[in-house]
Amino acid sequence: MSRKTMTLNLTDAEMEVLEKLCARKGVNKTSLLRQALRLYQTVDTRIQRGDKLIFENELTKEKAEVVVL
Amino acid sequence: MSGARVSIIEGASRRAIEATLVEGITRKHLHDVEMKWKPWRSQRLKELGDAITEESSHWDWEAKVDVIEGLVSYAAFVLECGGDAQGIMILNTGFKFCRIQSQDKMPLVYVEFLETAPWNRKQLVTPRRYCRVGPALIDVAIQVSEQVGYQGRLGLHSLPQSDGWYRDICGMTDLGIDRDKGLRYFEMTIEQAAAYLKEGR
Amino acid sequence: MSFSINIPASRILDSSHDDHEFDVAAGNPQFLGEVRDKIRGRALGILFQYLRRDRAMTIEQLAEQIGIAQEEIWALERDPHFHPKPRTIQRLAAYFELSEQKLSELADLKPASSLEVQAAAVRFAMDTSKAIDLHADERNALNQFVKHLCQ
Repeated sequence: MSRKTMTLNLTDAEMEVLEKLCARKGVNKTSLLRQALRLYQTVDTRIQRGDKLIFENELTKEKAEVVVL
Repeated sequence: MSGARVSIIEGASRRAIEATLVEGITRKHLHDVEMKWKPWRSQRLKELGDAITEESSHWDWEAKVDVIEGLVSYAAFVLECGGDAQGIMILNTGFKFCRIQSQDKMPLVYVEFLETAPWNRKQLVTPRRYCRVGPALIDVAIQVSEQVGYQGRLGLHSLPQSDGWYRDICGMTDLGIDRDKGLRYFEMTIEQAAAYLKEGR
Repeated sequence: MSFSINIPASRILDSSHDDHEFDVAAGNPQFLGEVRDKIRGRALGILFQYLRRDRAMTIEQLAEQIGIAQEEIWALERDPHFHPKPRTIQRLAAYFELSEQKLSELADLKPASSLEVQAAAVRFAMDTSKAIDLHADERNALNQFVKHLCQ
């Protein structure tokens, strides 16, 4: 796979979040950040075209729209 | 167009033949689907009368390509042979997560769509023009999962004619009918993926 | 390729993953639903583009005739994700003498009362091209679809 390398500066708190997520999701830091980028682009594209991002509680069926500016 | 070389089997002679795996769906592939797959399938279904219903015959590939265009979450692959598209697959690498307890909520590569040319389908013709197109594309999906860091974890909703292959031959875990989608959901663990790729390595 | 795929011949030819007994296919109905929605959106766009061209009108003329902004007609004809306003659908239905209820269903402004119109829209979108002139088969597809929308 052709790749480009970059340096990423994170605060201690952000690094801690990244490490915890990596452990929970079973992926390394690069994979997790690449996945985050893919997710971000998908959400952004759908919002651009007029869709809404909604979280639904599986038990209560309560829905909350995530306002993305 | 450059691509990886993949061996498949010519149905009539049972001899190995070389195909090319291309990343991305081009106008030429869409042309193949519209001008070759669809007429061939319509003709064949007419010959077979009402004996068969093809689940994947109603979908417009051009619209599928429009939906994923420019999104890095998706990867599309086409297996070409004899100048024609023989199988097409769309993968989602961005926002699908595992359901099996041992890998619960870990990211996986999800097969949004996998379809082989109608002349490669056992349900429609014997002998098929080419065999092992589908298994080769699943091999590709596992390798993509490894390369995006998901270690081979894979998920998909099987069409009914394929359930047996995913469960008994591919070795994926059958999580039963997904009520939301009306199809069986299958998932591949890291170990199952390693076992699939072990052969021939 | 952005992925480096390597499939040794032996893995396909000699492996136990033979598809001798089965066809191998997969599909996510939700993804297909999104595709179908897009086809429906496209059907609506093509329909109004055809009807307008059939009357040899420009977007500007149609906009003026029904009192709707040109931009909205342009977007409706070209963007399958565009959501027209109820007023736009109402005026287009009245002008082209089509069922407002069915057009509203197609435009996702009202819940679908039957699958028939949706299916007709999908057939229409798949039977037509983006050609500039109406060919005989396109005119036939248009007539069939309009018949569904008038009933």
